[in-house]
Amino acid sequence: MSDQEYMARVQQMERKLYRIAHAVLWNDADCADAIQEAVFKGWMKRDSLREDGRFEAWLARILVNECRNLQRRQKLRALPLDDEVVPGRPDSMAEDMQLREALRRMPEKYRMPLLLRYLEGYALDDVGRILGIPYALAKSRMHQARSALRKLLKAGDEQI
Amino acid sequence: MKRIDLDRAFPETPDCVRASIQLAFQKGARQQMKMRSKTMSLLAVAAALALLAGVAALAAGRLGAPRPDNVTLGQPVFKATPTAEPTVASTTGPTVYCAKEGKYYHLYEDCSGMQNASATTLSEAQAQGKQPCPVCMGEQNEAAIDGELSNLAAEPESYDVFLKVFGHPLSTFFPGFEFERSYIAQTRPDGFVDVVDWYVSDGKQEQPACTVCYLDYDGVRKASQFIFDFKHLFDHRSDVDFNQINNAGVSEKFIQLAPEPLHTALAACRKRLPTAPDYLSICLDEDYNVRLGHAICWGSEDQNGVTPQKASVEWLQTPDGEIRILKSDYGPDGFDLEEDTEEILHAPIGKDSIAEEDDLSF
Repeated sequence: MSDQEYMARVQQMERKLYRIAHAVLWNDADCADAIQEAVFKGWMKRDSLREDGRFEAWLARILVNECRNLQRRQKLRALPLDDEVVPGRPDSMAEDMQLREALRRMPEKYRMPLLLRYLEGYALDDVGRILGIPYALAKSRMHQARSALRKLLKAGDEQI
Repeated sequence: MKRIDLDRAFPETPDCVRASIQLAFQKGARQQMKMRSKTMSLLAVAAALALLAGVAALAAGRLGAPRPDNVTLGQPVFKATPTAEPTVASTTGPTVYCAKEGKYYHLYEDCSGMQNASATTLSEAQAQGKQPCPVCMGEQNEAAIDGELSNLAAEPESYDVFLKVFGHPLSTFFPGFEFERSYIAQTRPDGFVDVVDWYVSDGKQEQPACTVCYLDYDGVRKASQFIFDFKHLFDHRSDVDFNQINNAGVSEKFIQLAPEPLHTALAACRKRLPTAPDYLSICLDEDYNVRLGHAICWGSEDQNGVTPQKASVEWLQTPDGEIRILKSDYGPDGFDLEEDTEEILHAPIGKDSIAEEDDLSF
């Protein structure tokens, strides 16, 4: 893959990369760091990608790993991630705050399969590959995530 | 029915993300240039060295320097056996030793008391399909020199066992890891247990490790435990006849590939002790099929001693595939598994356990 081709494909994925990183880190500055590192690693390792059609899942996998590395480093620095979430700017009014809150309250292991499947449109096989879990586990977590989201949204409706 | 648009939960992509992508491209391009120039420098140095060597050889020839009959440039010290047709591959490379019928090639001709070993080249030994000796071809050599290994050093079987475990379908995450064919043997002060460590490395600092324990209670040394990451060790010897079952404590990656009932069992434990750290372990039978699963949450009692210390479930898969709950444990009154047991027993193993739904609408 040439330099230009790589850059074009990454730029096409920009929104996707942001949402994946945001779903793990919930912080724009951290997202930017993780994405930068992932795109750089992807650049250096792109020759190791055997199937061109898997590019997006491959880069998403690198990004998820980078996000987790970042989380681990933050834990080592004793910064509890959830307490440190400071949005870089006020959230847009167009956002569905209830949905956002429901997703934030959901454990990451459920949130990520749900987003990768229903928002980013990855097949379950790819969801498993990106998250480093087997197909059966991805499927089971997806199922549990749907139930959890339904409950959380219902609880939110009742509060309103 | 309400259709959920998950994108609405996310803000618009901020500029800092776009900038970071551009920075990554620039960083990548710079790094690429650096690597190219480094390669060019190395090539230039290699070319200069080759030129120097050529000039030196020429000068030696002109001065009439004597050359030993049996040594020519690029040849090893030993002579090839007269019956073998000498080839480039068989006459270059480091010298190793192997027995005619042996499976391994060795660094020393008397490794582990070996007799009748003959010298050959590394490439020749590899061409014959021989493997590096797990005893003398790595760090284990240092351990042997230190006198730690004694007769356990001659236990090549342990490496086969190790590979068999990592070759198990459940360990498909490990092929990317390189096995460091080395081990450290220890003998406990009571003299009963020999521990052989095989390390695997993913090239980073955090190295998962596998320990194969050889128990010697009855004088017969038998691989009985595989411990991954050291911390996940459970001993089921009191519950199951372990004569034919090997116990495996497993790493997180290994667990992720375990059969579904194990995860369901863990969920049952988490339901009771949600904040306690949890562990999973599996046992393999002699054919390395998963036979026993153990899910456990370790908690600590509260001030009134009300919260039990652990919740655990153990299940056994019979050779014909039946899942049988062996034991459940939760506090003084036990663990009412009536509901969960049904869930565990009916959780199918395999891909199609849960129907997939195509869109997210409730």
